[in-house]
Amino acid sequence: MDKAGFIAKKFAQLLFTLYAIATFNFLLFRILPGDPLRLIARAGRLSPDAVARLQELFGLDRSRWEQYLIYLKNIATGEYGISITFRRPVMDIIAERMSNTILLLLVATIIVIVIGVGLGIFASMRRGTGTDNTLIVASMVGWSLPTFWTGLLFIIVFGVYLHALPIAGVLTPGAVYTNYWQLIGDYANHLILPTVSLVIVDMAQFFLITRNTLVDVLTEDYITTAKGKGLSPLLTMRRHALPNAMLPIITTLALYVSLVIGGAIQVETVFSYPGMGKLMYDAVLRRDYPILEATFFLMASVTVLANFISDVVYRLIDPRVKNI
Amino acid sequence: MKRKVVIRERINKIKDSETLGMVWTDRLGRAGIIMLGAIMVIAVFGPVIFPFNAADIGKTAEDIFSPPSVNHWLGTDEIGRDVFRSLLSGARISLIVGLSATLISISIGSIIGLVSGYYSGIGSMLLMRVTDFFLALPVLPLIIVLASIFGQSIGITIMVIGLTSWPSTARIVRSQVISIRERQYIERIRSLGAGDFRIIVFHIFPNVMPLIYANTVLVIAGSILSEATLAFLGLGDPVKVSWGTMLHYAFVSGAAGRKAWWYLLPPGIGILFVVLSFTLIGHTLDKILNPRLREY
Amino acid sequence: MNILELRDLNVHFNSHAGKVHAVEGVNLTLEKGKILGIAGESGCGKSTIALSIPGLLPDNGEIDAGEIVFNGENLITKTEKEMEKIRWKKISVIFQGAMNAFNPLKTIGKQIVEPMQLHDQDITKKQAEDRTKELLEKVGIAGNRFHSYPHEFSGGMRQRAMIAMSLVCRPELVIADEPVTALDVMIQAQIMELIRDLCKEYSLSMIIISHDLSVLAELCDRISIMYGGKILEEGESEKVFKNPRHPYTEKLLHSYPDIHGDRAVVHGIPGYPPSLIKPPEGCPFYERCTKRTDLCKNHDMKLSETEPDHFSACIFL
Repeated sequence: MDKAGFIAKKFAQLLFTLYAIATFNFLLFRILPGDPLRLIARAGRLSPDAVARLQELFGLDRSRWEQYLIYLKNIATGEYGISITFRRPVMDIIAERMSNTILLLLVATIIVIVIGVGLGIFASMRRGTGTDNTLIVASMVGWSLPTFWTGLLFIIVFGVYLHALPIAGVLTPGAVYTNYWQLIGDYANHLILPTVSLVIVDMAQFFLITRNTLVDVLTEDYITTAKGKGLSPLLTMRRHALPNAMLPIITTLALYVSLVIGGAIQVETVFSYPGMGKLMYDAVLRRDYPILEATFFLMASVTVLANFISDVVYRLIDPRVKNI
Repeated sequence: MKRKVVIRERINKIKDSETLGMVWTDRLGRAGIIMLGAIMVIAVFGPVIFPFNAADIGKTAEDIFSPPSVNHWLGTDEIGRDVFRSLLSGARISLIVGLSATLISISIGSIIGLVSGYYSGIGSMLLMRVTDFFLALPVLPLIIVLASIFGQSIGITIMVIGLTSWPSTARIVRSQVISIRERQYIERIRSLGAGDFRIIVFHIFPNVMPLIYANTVLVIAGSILSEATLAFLGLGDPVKVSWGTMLHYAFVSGAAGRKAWWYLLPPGIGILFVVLSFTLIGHTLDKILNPRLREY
Repeated sequence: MNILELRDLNVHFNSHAGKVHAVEGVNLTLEKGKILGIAGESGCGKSTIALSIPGLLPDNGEIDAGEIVFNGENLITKTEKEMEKIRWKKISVIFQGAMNAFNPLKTIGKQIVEPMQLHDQDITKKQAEDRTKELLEKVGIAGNRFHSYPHEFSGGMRQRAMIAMSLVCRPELVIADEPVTALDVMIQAQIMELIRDLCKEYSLSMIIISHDLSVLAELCDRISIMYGGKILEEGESEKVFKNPRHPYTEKLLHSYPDIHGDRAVVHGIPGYPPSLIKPPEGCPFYERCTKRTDLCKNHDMKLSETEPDHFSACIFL
């Protein structure tokens, strides 16, 4: 199977999985005993107009099958319903928060890759030494830390005791900026603690997988060949060891995305950071099911997309893979 | 008279009894075992020696969020309860949930892995697709959604975590079963008339077990973390207070603003300690049973 | 003029189970332009010698005594950076089992070009590519296979590509570790001829390591027989083969069926090689030797000349 065919097949699988998630969502939120949305629509907490609109949008009076089809259509068009707490379309609310979460995740991912992979390379070249062992223990501790608790710790130390860094929000409320740098600086200030809390677990994960994969790769014959040709250890690592180690590491991309999303939920909650994670938390508190549904679907879609990307990249990099 | 022919082949040359000893030899493994032992002692005996009384709450303003004192070794919480005693009883809850959820998880995972690995057909393909589907879902959002729909109780928490963490076990078991079933000795046994059930249970499963050990321990670690996170986010059992729940109440009652470190630190340290102990043991097991990672 | 001399070389490996004394008190000389063969069973230390010369021992290996003198310079005293300059440019290696000796993610061509660009800054991409294709053709691989990946080559082709790669920087010394072992007999013959021709054409000095005496007999000018980390016999190969002066060499020669001789039962050598963690004092072949006496247990294993250019370490000459 050639590359184009492979990508097409994987894309089809991606679409199918998204469809499966949507169905899963539907079963969970609409079919289950108690049918939350129906209860809410009938409970009268929404205005009659809203109730009527909901009924129309979701066909609450029609058969389950029709509801299902309407639901699928809605998902595809981005119609996620109306939030119970905010009385606004869910999609709008999410759109507002999404950029904050994306910013947080982007910064975090860069740090995780640079430091996690960097230290992993460092440790693999010093296998068995004190430095290596210390890093391994440190990453085991890091992996075992509950992210939300790390955040709480930072809040107490840096926010409450030291008053050094902001512990809530993404920007200082009511602040006025005279230039771009001030704006970026304010963002950065607010991002420091949440980002550090978030990356600890993921860095540990990346460090361990990078180090262990490299240790394996460094025992391969072609590494001896490279050394025999006169390549320095650094050159050998860069040209021969790392590219081969990348392969197994890429397969953990989906796992990383799942972890980092989970971490973001915790961190945004603890730091009152107005992103998708905090949105989900608030929605849980108030049982705002439309928001829960939508955020879950989006998060799941992102994870599935990450899976797709890692499969495709793997295939593109490895010349040995003929067909899957 | 039927003659019983017993052929067993052990692929993994390390006996089960030796495995524990080998974990002990490894420095990190030993640390993990000692830590786990300490936790077990505390969880079993702690609440017996220092029972927690939920009704014993503060009477005056000074009793709330009070720092550690002779009466309250770890101070009091937002309604004046003794943090130290809460901590001890919380240990039990966290462990019970972690272990029960893991039991469910590896049972389901093993069975699905065995079946989908051994048989090749539509059914097996389907099982594999389902496994992959669950693996593709982000963990925390999934358990948040399930818990918020199905309710808050220890039982639900256990079910939710157990029913969402089996795919990793299933994957590992499945790939191992696939590699074993191709081996010659399975063919030999089959030609002697052994049925599928017998083959799976008596010949394939014993050789899969060592891999499950390392995975199980790590799943326990993950389950305890999941429970703590769920509880922190407000989805745990409000009555059976686990460490995560303690932190939840601490958070929502503003313990951070009150500088009540005695309330915020201990439960977190407890979680870290327990999860770390399982993590250390799990990684050591993985190292032993996967010799490539071993030092010379 | 000796291009390479090993003097009293001692190499050991650190392992779980203890210190493995892989090579003990080995002395070897190789004249410029000649081919030296090192023969022995698996685990006798010959590959260790191959790896020690260019300094390619794994992390747990150590040279604890002796000298490796290449063109008059002791390589053991050189720094890693100095060795990097010597590797491939002066001394190259044809590795045992080329199956995994190539990086699966890069094309064969790129990997052969790599040492050229590393050691010669001035060479252009085109020049390097041309020389590579030229060498590939010489070893019997079509030039356009430059862009193929290792997994697209058969075992024999990979071995030949390895040979081409080893010559690409025009080294003075080539060390071939079991160059034909993994190949079937027909290919073996082809490659042996190839090696012989290339040696002549490029005036190479070569060390060939093999457990297969028939291969060594074909190609080598001199031969050393190793066992248990020590050299038991060495000398001009024709003399050693025609007139073996060590019980081990005799037994080794008799374990090969002779196409021209009588139909006789082939004898193996009963027993196993000694453990190198607690190497025996004296002659390592003691346990399996039929001619042994108590004197052999304390023998200092020094080689004595039995006839011009033919040495043996056996007490009974």
